[in-house]
Amino acid sequence: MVRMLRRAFGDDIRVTLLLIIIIAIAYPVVYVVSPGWGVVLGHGITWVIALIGFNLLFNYAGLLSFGHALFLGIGAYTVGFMYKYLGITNVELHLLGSILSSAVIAFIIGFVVVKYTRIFFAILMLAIAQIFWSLYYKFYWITGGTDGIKVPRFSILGISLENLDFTSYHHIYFYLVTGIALVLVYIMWRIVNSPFGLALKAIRDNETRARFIGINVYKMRLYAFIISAIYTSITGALAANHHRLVTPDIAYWTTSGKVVFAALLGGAKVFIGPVLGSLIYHIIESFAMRFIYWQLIMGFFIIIIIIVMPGGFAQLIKTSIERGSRLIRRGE
Amino acid sequence: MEILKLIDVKKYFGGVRALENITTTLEEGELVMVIGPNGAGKTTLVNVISGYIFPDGGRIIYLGEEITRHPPLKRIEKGIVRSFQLVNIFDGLTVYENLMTALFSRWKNYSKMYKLVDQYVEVSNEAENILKLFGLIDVADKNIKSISYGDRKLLDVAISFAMNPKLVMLDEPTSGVATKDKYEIMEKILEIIRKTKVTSIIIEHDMDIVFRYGGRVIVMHQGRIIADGEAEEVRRNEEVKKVLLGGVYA
Repeated sequence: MVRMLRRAFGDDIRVTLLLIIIIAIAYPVVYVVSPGWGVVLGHGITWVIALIGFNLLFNYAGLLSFGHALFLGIGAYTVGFMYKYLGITNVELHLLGSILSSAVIAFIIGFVVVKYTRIFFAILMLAIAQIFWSLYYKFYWITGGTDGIKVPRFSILGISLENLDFTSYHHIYFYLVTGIALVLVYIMWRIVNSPFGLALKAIRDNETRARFIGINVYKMRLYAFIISAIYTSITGALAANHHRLVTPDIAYWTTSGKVVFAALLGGAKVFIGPVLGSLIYHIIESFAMRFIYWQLIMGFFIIIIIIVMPGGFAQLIKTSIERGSRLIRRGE
Repeated sequence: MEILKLIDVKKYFGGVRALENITTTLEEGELVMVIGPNGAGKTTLVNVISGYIFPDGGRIIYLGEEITRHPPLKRIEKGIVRSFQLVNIFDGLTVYENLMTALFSRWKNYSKMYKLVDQYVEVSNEAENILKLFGLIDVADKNIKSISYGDRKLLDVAISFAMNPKLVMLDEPTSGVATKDKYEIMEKILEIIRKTKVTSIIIEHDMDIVFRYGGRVIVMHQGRIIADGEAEEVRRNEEVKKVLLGGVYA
């Protein structure tokens, strides 16, 4: 008999996919009403990929990375370099390039960093990310320094979008990203619910016992690290094509902070959390950005989340559903 | 057939002699209870056999092969499995998931990513059988935090048995459990050991438990084996009486 584990809200893949599909359906309407909000949704979906990648390490492997901007930078600069030095505008090749470069770099870095956990891992990641940032910043003859690398509109399946009007171009970007996000979210859900996902959680809970039932802790962490890096770099590559400019900002520590913040905002403990987090973060950010002191507003939000709802929005919704159903049952 | 042989095994922690010239053998299918006062070296003995720490001297022979310096993982692959004195399970998982983790590890597919946990029907069935054997089937889907301490202890042992061990070492499987539940847990464990015929070393602190069930008993004191034999015969040993009943172990 196949035991069906009871999956509470948030860990059911259907809810997560449905959320993304609803956004995809609502998007044209949003765009007609306000193109600006359409762009915000595009950002939101793009960052979903990086956030679920980050959360594989954070929630499932118990490793908090304060340096995920490292992989966003690798994804973005792979696209930048591919265009600058090879003239490649093809988005499929951009993604492939980012996957390969992030996997190789994550393998080399992971080789060392996954030996560490807790604060040591967090700080080590922060330091390594800052080293990469300084390389982008200082080697301006290669990277363009703070001016960055300008990227033209991408082409897809060999078709150039250079002469398309802005709105259509943006729609194509949005649905491309949504399609990729749907596939990657589904794959990630399978990963965290596979024996590998179970082993990661076991290591997170009790490393010693995991070792003593024969789990290769180091190898599992390294795998998780590489997968997380690939996901994050895909967001980097897509964001580079979205902004059409690659600057060191994407690899700066504040970007790493954004990743952590958005994950906490959505609620890292459940699968859907980072997906919610990415969307809500970008909505709040675009509201806050209208004010001069927008960082102040974002900071205020962090404090509220940590004090009032440490489980993030996902937990808030979950609790509300539970309370609601209890009230309905009482009413019957 | 001889499964385990310790020859002059030594372990020192600074000036403390945790194990001193331990020499003993274990036959396949044998059950040995190890007893001794605090600091006698019981846990160190398990640590040394499981590879948690390496001895400072002596040799450990397992199934005719020297494993003195083998890392834990290699020993686990060969069937040497242990549990820990304090409950040592995966707190964030359900009872069923705890067991599945161990089974996936044994089946060597714990790093597989594509198929979902629930799709491994064979593994799932085995987990159910073990849970039934240990009387944990009713709490299978419960989180660790919501089950009793006694059940956690049993789950800890169940995880060790899920590894399909040839030699299992249980470090005080009843410690921390209320006295009235101790016998129940011990009887359950002994029943499973008899049923599965796995060679077992059980470390126990509680004299009543050790001598109640009979069989081979090893008494340790200050890193040495001071008695080794049938429970009744060991109980009558003068030195044992002094150590276990005297001032040290009142």
